[in-house]
Amino acid sequence: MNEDAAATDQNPDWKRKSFSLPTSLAEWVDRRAARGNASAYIAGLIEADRHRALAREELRDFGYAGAMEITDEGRAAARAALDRQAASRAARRERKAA
Amino acid sequence: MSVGLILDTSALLVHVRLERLSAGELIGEVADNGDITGVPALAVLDALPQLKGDDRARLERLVTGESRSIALLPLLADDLLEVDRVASLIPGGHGAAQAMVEANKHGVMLASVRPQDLGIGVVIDADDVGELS
Repeated sequence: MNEDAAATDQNPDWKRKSFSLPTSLAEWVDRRAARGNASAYIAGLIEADRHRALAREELRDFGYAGAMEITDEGRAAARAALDRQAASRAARRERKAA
Repeated sequence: MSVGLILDTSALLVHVRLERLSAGELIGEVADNGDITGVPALAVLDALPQLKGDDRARLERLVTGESRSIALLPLLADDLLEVDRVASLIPGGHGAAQAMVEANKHGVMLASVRPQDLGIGVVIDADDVGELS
């Protein structure tokens, strides 16, 4: 058993599961995760995915449903607006630092 | 989790009244990015007297419940004087003032439907204000 598995087995908040990955993805996990932290790396990805799904569900429950359903086009426009603001903010910071 | 967007009083009102889809789209996109949308405490106080029925219930749920997309931003002692200074410069009230202080502090977009009530060019850069369509 590697250090990663041993650490998660001893933690009551962790459950050991076995999954298969395509070789290329398994190699990617090895490259991305620091030695012994593959479980934490994969858990982080799953947690982020769960957060996104639950946040979308929360907005639907709040009232963004039916005629007020959030669309992919609307999300893309929102993403573009957020990106423009971030780019402008970064450019201003650079100008100020120069 | 970081603050990725701030709602001023006007944006908070259209969000809880479900009047602008763009509010939900922005909040959802920020959540997708792993961040959270900040609602200033003073904006909540400005909004509450303007709401009734289901709209008020939605705001109360935002304030008292656990949310994955929205966080209430308390008024910190360190920000008090700056919020007071900004409020004296704009017609938007203390809620909008705290929203601008928070947007500048976090370096994120301030969502509003009343940009004319903000001190654009004086207190906040025009590029930092996102007008909800």
